[in-house]
Amino acid sequence: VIDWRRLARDLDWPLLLATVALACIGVAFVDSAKATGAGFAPEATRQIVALVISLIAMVICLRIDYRKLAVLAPWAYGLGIVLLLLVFTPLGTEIGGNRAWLRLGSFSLQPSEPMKVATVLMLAVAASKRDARLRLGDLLAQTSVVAVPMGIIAIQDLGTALTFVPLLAASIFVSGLRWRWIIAAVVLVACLVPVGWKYAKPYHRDRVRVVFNPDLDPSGRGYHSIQSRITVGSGGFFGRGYKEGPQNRLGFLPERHTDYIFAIIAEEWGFLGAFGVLGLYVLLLARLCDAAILAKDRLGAILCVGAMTFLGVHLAINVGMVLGLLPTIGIPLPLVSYGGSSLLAFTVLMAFGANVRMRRMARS
Amino acid sequence: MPVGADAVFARRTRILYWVFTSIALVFAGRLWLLQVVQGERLRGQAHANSRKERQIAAPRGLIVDRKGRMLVGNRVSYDLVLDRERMDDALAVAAWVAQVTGEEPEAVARRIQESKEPSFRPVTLARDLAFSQVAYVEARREDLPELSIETRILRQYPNGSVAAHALGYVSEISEAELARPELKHHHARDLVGKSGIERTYDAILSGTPGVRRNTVNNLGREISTEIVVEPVPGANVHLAIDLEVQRAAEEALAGRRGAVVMLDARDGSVLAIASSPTYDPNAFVGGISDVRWKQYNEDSTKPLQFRAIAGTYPPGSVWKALVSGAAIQSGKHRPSTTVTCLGSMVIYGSVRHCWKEEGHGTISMMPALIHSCNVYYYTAGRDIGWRPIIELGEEIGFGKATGIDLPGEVGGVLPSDAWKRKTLKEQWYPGDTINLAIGQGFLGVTPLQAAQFGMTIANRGTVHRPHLFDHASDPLTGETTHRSEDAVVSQVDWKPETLDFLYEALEGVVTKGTGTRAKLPGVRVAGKTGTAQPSSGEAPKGMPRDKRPERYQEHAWFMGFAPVEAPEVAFAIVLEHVGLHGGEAAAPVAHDILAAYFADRAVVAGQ
Repeated sequence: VIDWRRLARDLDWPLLLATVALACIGVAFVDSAKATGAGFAPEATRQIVALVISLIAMVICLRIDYRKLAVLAPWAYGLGIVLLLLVFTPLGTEIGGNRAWLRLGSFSLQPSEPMKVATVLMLAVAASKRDARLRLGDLLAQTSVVAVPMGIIAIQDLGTALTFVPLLAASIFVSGLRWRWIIAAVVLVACLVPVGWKYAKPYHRDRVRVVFNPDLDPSGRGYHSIQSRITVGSGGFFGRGYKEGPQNRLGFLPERHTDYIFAIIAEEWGFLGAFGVLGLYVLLLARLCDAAILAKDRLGAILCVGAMTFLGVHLAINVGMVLGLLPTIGIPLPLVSYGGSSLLAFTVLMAFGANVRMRRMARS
Repeated sequence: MPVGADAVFARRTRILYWVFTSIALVFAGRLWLLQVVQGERLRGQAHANSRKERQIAAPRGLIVDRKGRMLVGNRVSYDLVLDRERMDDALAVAAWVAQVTGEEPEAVARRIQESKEPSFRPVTLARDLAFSQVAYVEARREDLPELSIETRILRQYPNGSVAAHALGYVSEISEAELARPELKHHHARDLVGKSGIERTYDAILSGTPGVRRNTVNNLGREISTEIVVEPVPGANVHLAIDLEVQRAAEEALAGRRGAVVMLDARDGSVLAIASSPTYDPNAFVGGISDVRWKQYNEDSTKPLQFRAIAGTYPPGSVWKALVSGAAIQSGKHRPSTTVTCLGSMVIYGSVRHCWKEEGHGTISMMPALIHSCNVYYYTAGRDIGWRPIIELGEEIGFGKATGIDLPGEVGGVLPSDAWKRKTLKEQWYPGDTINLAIGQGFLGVTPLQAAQFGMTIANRGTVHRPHLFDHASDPLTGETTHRSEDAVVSQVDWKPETLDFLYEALEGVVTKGTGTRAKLPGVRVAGKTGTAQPSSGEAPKGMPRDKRPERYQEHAWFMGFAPVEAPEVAFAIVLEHVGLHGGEAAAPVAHDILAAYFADRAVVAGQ
């Protein structure tokens, strides 16, 4: 029997509403980017279906105590790895140059998205099994949980794989790694950057160079960067109006319903709208941070830290790219970009936050 | 106990939160910068984005012959173009296109994938489709909206290889050419004349591109369009070439290597200029295939070489006409001077042969020229020395380019003591004079120069700059826009007695001498045959004539003018390594081109 009053009291309404609001904004702008005339764009319809599925998944995730979910973690993790590997079989298909999808009947699934959820869950399980002091074994356990899926994803999609690095770093960081080790790690990474530059593929280097000077190749590699900047800038303070942005309508910006959707929001809703969307994300981050600190146990805490980190990293990379501050890395804007797998993954991650928060008082 | 009680955890989680929030704040600042501070400027760029000014190619002018017959025209090419941004499945497109073009699907797929252009630029998958292929594509446009047909204007050569070298060809302008001042009217990707008339008169033929202002989307698809500046088509170029004479020249050359030049002696305009073997310029249209280009370049018969202006040959006995002139002009050797030819003579310590083993007997200059006696000219050369010969050669224009309106002309070699010291680091020997007297040795003459020599006799000394261009006309109104300027480049100071001698002797060559096969009933033809030892040298002694390697086979020459009483045309023919005398091989070619020119005046045999 559900105690509705208690549920209404314990549920994290700001987090849930912000999540649904961002997803709805996503549907609206997928339609704006893709609608050709009268009627709903087929992509927007698909996104609504994905949203309905995501909301159902969210409700299920809220109903089940996260500690019971944790029991399922190894199964989810294992299934995720199997799905990732299936991409390399004939079931895998290539979309937009990356072979990262599974074709399942009429819809396709990007296994790296559910894997994000499974990894956060598994990482939380791994990070919670420790005594007061952080030991080398804990570090190794956490590292291997993240490294396996990351390695498999990196084969096809380096950008997505990169988002797993901060997840591991965040988990180790909050687990209490000594500052001296953290500083040592930062110095080591800083030293490795020039080496990485040397071995990077030429097109990776070009992507980085173009960030600093998009006019190097305005119709080639700099094209996205320049057009994105123009699209954002031409929105002005109040925006051109929903579905009224010329950069959007005339289609100057490629991938504007997926990776560049934030630019369309900025063009049509202006500074006000884009700032508002950023505000919703900051609200989500704040609620997740809060949930982590309030969490009853380390499992729930790491679960929330993982969700917060994934959300923050995707936001930083995607919006950084759209605003011309980072190189072109094909990462969706969480909850907003077109793509059912990603929407599902992030709604479930947000549900984890609410789940942990509402059970902070429950007896173990 | 909440984990938050772990102070380190709580503090570090908050640090993480603030890291992300700070990033969000940086983004907000960036948004402010782009949207509020730079908003106006970027909005202007967005506006400019959708308004693209595009060039409208101006149709290139036509090239026609002196009677207005088409030599170079234009046609439309239908190309199959793929828009990769609208493409879902490259393999499906490749398979479908392969069906249209009859290629392997893998080959098409490779072209799609290996295109280095950014993905929003269309890729051309097939050029110059047949009508049936265009119909097939258009009928199925619905299924594959990423494919479309685009049109391009291409050059067309309705007469195939006729006058190919002179007309030249066009292709996409290169980086290096864009930097040249004479091609500054061009833009990247323009078609530009690469050789021949197409190159020389490129500025006249090209016209001025128009400007179209389009509102376009990212795919370059036009949403609306307006023409701001109409393109101005290039002017039509009218050449002096007479297509019939040109054809006659090429038919006579067919299957052999050589060149024919026929000039209007009265003004230097070119009636025919042919080089053999030739090539079909239609193969260069729309980009020649690498295989074909390699074939042409590696062909040992050098079909791409324009022999008429870029081939140099020793002139052989044709030169005797010049030596006769030099002898008479210098006064050191009179036409009445007789020499006894016994088939050979010893001169400067070596034995020199006449082509006629039994000898010509005792003859004066007139029969010596008519029958091309070597011994006579050895003697004449020794008597007058090399200087008057070279001086007259210079006056006529040997040893330097004539300045014809075609790219790639060479000047040949007119040797002298100074020339020999400079290039061979050797002094001039008396033997060199003997070689020079019969048109051998270091001499190098282009067929065009030989024809120009004929012109100087026919014109009684006036040398007009040879030219193909007659005038250019506006394609819409027909008005003349450019006219060729007659340029007299030099005046040979012939003495009347020299000309009288040459007229009589050269007509004698055709009526009763070595060049009788050039005879054309009803037209008085004058000319001189030549059988030139190739510069690769003399064949080893005792080698039978028909067993000699080709490089020892002689070049056959014929140079002349007609009609004798009031010359209209001057011409020269050379046949490379034919191993036949000028009279046997080259004179019949002269007959053919003269018959074509004098078609309405010559008495047709049998009438």
